[in-house]
Amino acid sequence: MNQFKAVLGFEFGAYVKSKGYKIFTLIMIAIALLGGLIPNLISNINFGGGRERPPVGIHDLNHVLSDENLNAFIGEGAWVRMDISNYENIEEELENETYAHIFMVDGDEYTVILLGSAAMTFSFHTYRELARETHLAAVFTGLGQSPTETSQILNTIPEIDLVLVGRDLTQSFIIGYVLVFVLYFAVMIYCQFVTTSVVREKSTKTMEMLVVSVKSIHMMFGKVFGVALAGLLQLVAILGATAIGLTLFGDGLADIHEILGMLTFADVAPLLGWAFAFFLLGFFSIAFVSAGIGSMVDKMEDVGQANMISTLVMVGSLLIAMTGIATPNSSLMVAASMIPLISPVIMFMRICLVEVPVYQIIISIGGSVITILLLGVLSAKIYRAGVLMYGTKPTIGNIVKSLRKA
Amino acid sequence: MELTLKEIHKSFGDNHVLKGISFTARTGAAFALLGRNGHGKTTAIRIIMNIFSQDSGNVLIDGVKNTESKVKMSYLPEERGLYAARLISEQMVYFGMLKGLNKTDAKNESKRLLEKLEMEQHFDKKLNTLSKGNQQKIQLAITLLADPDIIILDEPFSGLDPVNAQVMNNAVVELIEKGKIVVFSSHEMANVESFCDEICIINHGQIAIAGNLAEIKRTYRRDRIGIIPEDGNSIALHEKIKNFDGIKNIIENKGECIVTLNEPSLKDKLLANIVNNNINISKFDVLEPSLQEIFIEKAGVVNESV
Repeated sequence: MNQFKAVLGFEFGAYVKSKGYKIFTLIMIAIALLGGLIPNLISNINFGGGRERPPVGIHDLNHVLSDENLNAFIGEGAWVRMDISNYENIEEELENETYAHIFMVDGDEYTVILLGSAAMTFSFHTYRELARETHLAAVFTGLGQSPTETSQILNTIPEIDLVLVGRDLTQSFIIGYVLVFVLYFAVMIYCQFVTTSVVREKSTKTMEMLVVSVKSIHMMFGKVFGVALAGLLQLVAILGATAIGLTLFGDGLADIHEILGMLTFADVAPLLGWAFAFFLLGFFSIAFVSAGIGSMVDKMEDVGQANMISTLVMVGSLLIAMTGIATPNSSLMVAASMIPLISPVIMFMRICLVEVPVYQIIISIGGSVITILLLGVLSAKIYRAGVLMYGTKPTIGNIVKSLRKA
Repeated sequence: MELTLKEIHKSFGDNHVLKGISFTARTGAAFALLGRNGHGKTTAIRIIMNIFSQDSGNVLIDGVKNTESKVKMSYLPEERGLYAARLISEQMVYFGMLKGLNKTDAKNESKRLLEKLEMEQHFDKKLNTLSKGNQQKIQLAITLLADPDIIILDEPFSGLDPVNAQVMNNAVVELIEKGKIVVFSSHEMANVESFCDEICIINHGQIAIAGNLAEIKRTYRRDRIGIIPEDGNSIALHEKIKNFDGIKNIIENKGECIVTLNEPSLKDKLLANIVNNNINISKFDVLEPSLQEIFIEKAGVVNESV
C-alpha cells in the first residue's frame, strides 16, 4: 500500500507540477471565467472593416408589399426600395454589396435574387412567410376586408399550452450533451497522459529500475490513480471557473443563461455526479488498456500508435451515443450501455435523456468495475513483461506473447 | 549470506538462453558474472531479481527461494534511465519510498549517499542538468538506497571518467567491506580483476568457468616469465639469454622480455643462468594469465561453436 501511495504521489506531482498542466489549466480557467464576455466583445467589434450590412433591395413597383410588413420581416432600415431595370448588371451590384440581395414582386410572382456564394446562409423562410402574408392580404382585401381587419386576422395566433408529464429532460439533455463531450475529451486526454508516462519510462529505461523496486500492480494502479487525481483536480477547477464565469459575466450568453436560469442545483447536481462517476469508470478502463499497450512501445514517437486502440474505443462509443441520441432506449443503445469500455459514455448519455432502469445502471457500473480490475491486473503483467520487449509493435499477437512471458 | 543459482534453465520460445547454470556468490566478496553480449548474463540477473522466473532450477538466498526471501536486493541495470526532467531529490526520495523507507528517512539516506559519491551539491537539481557520468552516479546512489544486502551492478563503470570511476570504486569497496554480496557484470576486465575474488564466465548459456580467480589462474601453466633488464635494453637481454637451456621462445614487450619455458619447473634454472652470467635484471616474475586472457580463451571466438 505504501508503494501504491508513493507511486500515486509521484505521478500526481509529475502532472500537477508540469508546465504544460499549469499553463493549460490557467488558460482553460481564463476562458471559462471570461467566456461569457465573448459574445459582448464580438458584438462590439465591427469585423466588416467599418462597413455596415448592405440593405435588401425591394423591387415592388406596384407597392404590393407594405412598409409595415417589410419592417416586420426584414427589419427596420434593413431594406430599400429600388427598380431593378435601372441596373445593367445586377450581379455586379450584388458583388459590390450595393444590396445584400433583391426581393422582387411582380403580380403574383415573387423572386429572390442573391449571389450563389450567399445561398448557404440565406433564410428563404423569411421571404416565403412575407410572400404568403402579402398574398393572403390581397385575397382578404379582394373579399372586402379592410387592411386593419386583414392584419388582425393574419396576426391572430391561438395560444398553445404545453403540459409536460413526468421529468422534463430538455435542460438535462443540453447539459448532458455538453458533459458527454467533456467526458469524452477528458478521458482521451488523461489516458494519453498515462500512455506517455509508461512509454517514457520504457524509452528511458527507467522501467527496469522500477520493476525491481515496486510491485507492478502497485505501479500500474498508482500511476493511473495519480493521473486520475490530477485530471479531476483540473476538471473541478475548470468547471468551477465556468460556473463562476457564467454567474458573473453570463449576460452575454442569453440562450445559455435562459437555460441555466431555469435550472436549479438539484437539476444539475445528479448529472454532475453521474458525469464524475462515468468519467472515472471510462478513464480507468481505457487508461489500463492504454498503459498495457504503452508498456510494449519503446519509442516516444510510437505513443500515437499505442493510443490507437483506446482512441478507436472512445470514438466508437461517442459515435454510438450520437447515433442513438434520438432513440436512447433502442436495443443498440441499451446493449452498448452495458458493454464495458464503451458503456461509460453511452450510459451517461442515456441517463441524461431518459429514465434508465436501475438494474441496467448496476450492470453497466458493475461490469465496468470488474473490467477495470481485470485490465489493471493484466496491464500490470504486461508492464512487467514490457522490460523484455524492445523493438516490438503493439499487435494483438505481441500482447498475448507478453502476457505469457509475464 | 550466500546467493546460489542451481541448474537454472530459461528459454524464450525456441531460444534456450540459459542451459543449467549454477554458481554461488558469498558475503564480503565481489562476484563477477562475465560473458559476451547476448550469452545470458542479463537473463541470469533478471531471474535473480525475480523480474521473470526460470523454467527450472532454483535461486536460493541462504537456502530460501529468492521469491520468498526477505533479503533486500538492489539492481543497477546496464541500461541507464531515470526521470530526466525531475529533481534528483524528488526521484531519490521516490525510489527510497518504493524500497520501503519513509519520506524523511528516504531524504536523509539520499543526502548521505550523494555525499559519499561527492554529489551532494546536485541534490536539488534536475537530472538532465548533469553529465552522463554524474547521472550514472545518481543511479548508483538510488541502487544503494535502503541498505540492500545483495547488490547487482551491471556495467557500473561504463562511461565514467577516471576520477568518477575511482569514486565509484571506493563506494563498491566499502560495500564489500560492509559484508554485502556484490555481483558485477562488466566487460571492463581490469576493473573486475581489481575487485572480484570470484568469477563466473557464461558462454552460450553455459558456465565456461567459475570459481576463485586466484585459483583459476593457478590452474594455468606457470611457464611464462617476465624479465626486465636493469638498463632497460630488452634487445640486448634477448641476445644474452636466447641460447639458455629450456627456453621455448622470447617476446620483447615494452622493455620487458616475456620468456616461455619448455616446462614451468625450468624457471629456477633460468634464474640461475642469469645470475651466473652476471646479467643485471630489475624484475624476474612468473606471469599469470590476466582475466582478459582467461575471458578470451573461455568465451572468445575459439568457443563460438560451443
